[in-house]
Amino acid sequence: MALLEIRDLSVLSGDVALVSGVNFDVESGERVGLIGESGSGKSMTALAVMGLLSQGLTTSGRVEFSGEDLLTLSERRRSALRGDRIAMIFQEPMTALNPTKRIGDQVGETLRIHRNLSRRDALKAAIELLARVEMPEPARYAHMYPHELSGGQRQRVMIAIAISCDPDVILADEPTTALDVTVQRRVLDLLDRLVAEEGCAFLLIAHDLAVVSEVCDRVITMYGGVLVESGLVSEVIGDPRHPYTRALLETSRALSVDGAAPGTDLPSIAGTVPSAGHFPAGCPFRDRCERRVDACIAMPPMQVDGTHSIACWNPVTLLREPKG
Amino acid sequence: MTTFPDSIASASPIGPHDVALVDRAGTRWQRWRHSPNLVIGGLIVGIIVMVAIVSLFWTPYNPLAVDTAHVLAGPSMRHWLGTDEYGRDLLSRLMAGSQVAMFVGSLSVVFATVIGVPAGLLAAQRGGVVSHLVLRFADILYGFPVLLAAVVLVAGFGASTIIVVWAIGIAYIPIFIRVTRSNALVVLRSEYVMAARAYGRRPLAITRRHVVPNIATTMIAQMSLLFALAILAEAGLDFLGLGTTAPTASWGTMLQESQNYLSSDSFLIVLPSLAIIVCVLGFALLGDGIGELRDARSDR
Amino acid sequence: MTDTGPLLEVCDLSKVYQSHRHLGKSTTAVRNANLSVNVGDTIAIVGESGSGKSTFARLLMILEMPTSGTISYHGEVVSGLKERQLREYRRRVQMVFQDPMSSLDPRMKIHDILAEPLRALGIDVDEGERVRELLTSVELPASAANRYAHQFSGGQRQRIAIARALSTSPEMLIADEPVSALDVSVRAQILNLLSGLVRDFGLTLVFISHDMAVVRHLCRRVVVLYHGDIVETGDTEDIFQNPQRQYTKELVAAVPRIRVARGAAEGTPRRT
Repeated sequence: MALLEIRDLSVLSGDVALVSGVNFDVESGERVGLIGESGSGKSMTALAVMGLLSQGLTTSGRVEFSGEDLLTLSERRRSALRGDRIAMIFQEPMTALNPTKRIGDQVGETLRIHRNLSRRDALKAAIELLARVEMPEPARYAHMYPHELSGGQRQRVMIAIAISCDPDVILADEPTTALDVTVQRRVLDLLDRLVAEEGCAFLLIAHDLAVVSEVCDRVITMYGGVLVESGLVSEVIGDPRHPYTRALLETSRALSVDGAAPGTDLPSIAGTVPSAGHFPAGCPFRDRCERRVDACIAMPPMQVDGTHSIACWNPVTLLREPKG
Repeated sequence: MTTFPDSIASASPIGPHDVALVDRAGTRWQRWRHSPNLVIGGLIVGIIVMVAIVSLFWTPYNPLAVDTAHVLAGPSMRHWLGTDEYGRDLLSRLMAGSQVAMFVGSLSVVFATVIGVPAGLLAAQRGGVVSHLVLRFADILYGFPVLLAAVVLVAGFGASTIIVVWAIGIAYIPIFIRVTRSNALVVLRSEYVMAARAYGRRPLAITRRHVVPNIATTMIAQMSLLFALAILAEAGLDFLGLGTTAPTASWGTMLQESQNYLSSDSFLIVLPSLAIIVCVLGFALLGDGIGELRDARSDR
Repeated sequence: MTDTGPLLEVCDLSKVYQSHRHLGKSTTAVRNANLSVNVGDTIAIVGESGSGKSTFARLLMILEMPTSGTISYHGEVVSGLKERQLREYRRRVQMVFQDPMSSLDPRMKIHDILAEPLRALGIDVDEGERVRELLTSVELPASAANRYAHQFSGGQRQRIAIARALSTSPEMLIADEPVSALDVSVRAQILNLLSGLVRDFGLTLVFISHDMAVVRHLCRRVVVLYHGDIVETGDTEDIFQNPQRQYTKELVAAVPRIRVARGAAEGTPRRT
């Protein structure tokens, strides 16, 4: 049984589906990257797993965490799990941290809630955690307020909060998107090292293929609320078979530092991402897909090839012979 | 000077990028149905305004007509809401009172707007010393809450309805100055205003073309809310004898005249009170409702 | 205005902000910047937050006054001029802003948004005709003119912003992180559009960015800013293959690369 088993997860806003029928597993200690652009539903999926969706949205399906279905649990039980067994790192550290509380208090808060530590012990532990996330002068920073820290430092604080109770899984929603390039590098390296040290599972939500490829073992791509491709990094990024992943990879590759030479046109995907509720019926990518066939008016089932799954009627064929 | 070459004009594909040109949230006017505040508030205000207009031409009885034969009568077929201690028809007096409420409400708010909004815009646009002076002017006016302003004016000019208009107007000017200024500053700091400066728009034109349209809805909502408060203030001043004087029918004077009948004929107090409450509620809901509409065009 | 010599010349430009609250405390956003831009150049100003690049862009657009130094265009100083003397400069130098969600007036129709620069600068031209031409050049349908900004996606709004910048038929475009807020697939579209327009209209491009990859694709020269100082300048390829300064090396090395396995470098060599 996997640590996290997500089955047929759907999130609806009224009758608009933001996430449709998503299935995937995260094993203990595994690092999975969830890639998508805006409107793909990737953030919604993460929030659904954490039980942090806003009131007006309805969720269906199952999110099994160590055997318990998180979607049907009481809020009380979910709160007990959050911060302790499942931790989340958000994109904007300034809004995710309380501006009126000191750093040390915020880092220690999870320990006080879940481990019943006293204020003093929690502060001590907080300082140790700040040292682990490479904050210079942790004792001094523990007494500061969020606004006195830089973006990168605040993100380190968020990471410290996330690892404080040795969680089984950490969800990170675009943790480095709002950071400068050089800061992003350091924070990513830190996350990489800490996840390895903690041995916890890691679900990274990002729009940047390169970031995911550097830190994760497995990759899942989403488009229009639907899971389109899933597999090992070597499979999905080495040889993507879903037209969307393939096109995204081509564009990302061209836009990477080692990418296309100037003067040539960048590969791009024709058209624009529709707004929620305006995706075509069947495969959400079909209006923009070069490999579109008649069957695409119906949602394609997942074709499974070992560890590599593709939701496509007409995937790009393999370069090597398929197994089985 | 570059011109647009024919090759560009003829070669571009229209199709793929057209896909998302869908009306996203529906136009602002279609959304009003979803705002209960707007619908209910609008309804109430609509009814009151109609009553006020109708009462200019007709009321069941003359609001001032004394009828000693039917004093303090309860609701009946003759007098639908009864009569007061002078036998005057209460329904007619309530209707006449709505005229005063609308008159004072609209005039005072318009007066405060006409002075306060341009001052606020000026402060936001010019900043520096000018803004400082305008804000200090607002501070001075803050020192004259409605009651104090009314007392001073009455001392000088005697009590009347128009005194109430001035008093409330003066008290509200600083509110409009501050609200306008803060809303205008938000717009002036936006990127589209910076873009306008970058293509050479002058400050005054920016205020006229960008600031005003973008604060309009908020300001109208604000005016509606202050209208509600103005009615309340008007009733209060009339009650204290600082505004409309008896025997003229206004909700405030009706309250003043019925003080002695609190225990015996409480409907004399309840009716004008209800009128005030409903009116204030209506304008407040309307203001909130308009405020909710504001978000339509800034939607993603 | 002369036609020989650099188009834009920045001499010893500095911008210092005095703090209102702490007397005596000041921040130097840009320090002694020197830059020469020739006609047809595509030059990138690269830096992270706090580097001064946004301030630099605003100084180039004369939206702010420098504390010292000058900016000259076609050989004439423009940095100290009053607004009414800047009409010609404003017509020839236009800007594309970063955030497509906030750089277009939500209350204005697209037609007006595109026509505003013409009206503001007193350019006499058939508005309807020009708006149609502009929309075509950014690959949007003519029906877009009657709609409002909120009815468009981020990428489409950025097309509108670019169209607005082109409305006065400028010579030089200053683009402040125009694709940073866009999804990857849209980014490529907009960059293709920009490079096409630069080519077809013979524009000079000053491209502000923190994204090294985008810069490499679009610009032939790079200027690296760090805390207000220009630390390195050069041809794009030189900067990438042979960065001289420590900061530049860090900047190039820090960009995540696409890997096919964790820790492994990408298999396929870059095709030129």
